[in-house]
Amino acid sequence: MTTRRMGHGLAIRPEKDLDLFRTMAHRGQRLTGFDALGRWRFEDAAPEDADFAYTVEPAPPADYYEMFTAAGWETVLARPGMQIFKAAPGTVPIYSDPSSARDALRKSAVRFAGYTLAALLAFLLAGLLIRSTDFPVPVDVVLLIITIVPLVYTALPLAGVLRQLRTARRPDTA
Amino acid sequence: MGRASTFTTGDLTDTGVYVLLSLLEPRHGYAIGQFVAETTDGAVVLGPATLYTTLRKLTEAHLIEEIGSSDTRRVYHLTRGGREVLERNIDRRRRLVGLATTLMEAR
Repeated sequence: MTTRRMGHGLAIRPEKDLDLFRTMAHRGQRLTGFDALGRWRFEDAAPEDADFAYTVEPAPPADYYEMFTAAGWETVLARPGMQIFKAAPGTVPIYSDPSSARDALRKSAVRFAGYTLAALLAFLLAGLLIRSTDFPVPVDVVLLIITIVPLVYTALPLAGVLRQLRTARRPDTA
Repeated sequence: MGRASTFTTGDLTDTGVYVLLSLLEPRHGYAIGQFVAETTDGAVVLGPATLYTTLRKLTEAHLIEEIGSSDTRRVYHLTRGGREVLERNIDRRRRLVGLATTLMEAR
């Protein structure tokens, strides 16, 4: 049987979604993907205790997953820009060095900042078009919707990544 | 975000030093992780995302380079610059241990 759960946004509140995966796995619900509405999809499976982790590599090379498998992390979902792994509790975390975790977050922040800037420019351009031309109202509404949705979907993850970066920023001891 | 990367300054973290040490001989990512775990008797185990990020940063800083691949595995090796940075980092740690030993023995 398929069960769907709305997440908090992996880039926005990753700890909440990873906790959801852990809870569902414990109940015998295996994460299999997500639907068009962005809800996580789970299928019936044997209950298991597992920790979950994720990365956001845009285009992982072929040997990427091998490094995770060798370290005890099984690939659950693998898509460009989002990879989810699970492992038995106690497995060495995917980021064993805080500075490398911060580095990955910085890289994500730069990527999302680029997307957000492009979406913001498109939104402003649409606003300018609406002001300077005499489109029918439905056209104005459609223009606003198709430019504001990408803005929200890039700005929120950016805010989430910046929040994680602030949390992760600690003085280097190495 | 303004702080210079340790890969740029050459003052590497312990993880960076372990990876450079493992690449005194050509190795692929998986073998690097194994080498570090085995030579430290399991005291140091690199997480896979840390290993991947470190390899990427060391490559970008030209301290290591890809010298080919076997199957889908990319094989890396230390560059001349990487060896110099490695020696400098080991020397820095040697001086720290020397200082610590002197101070500890004096008390």
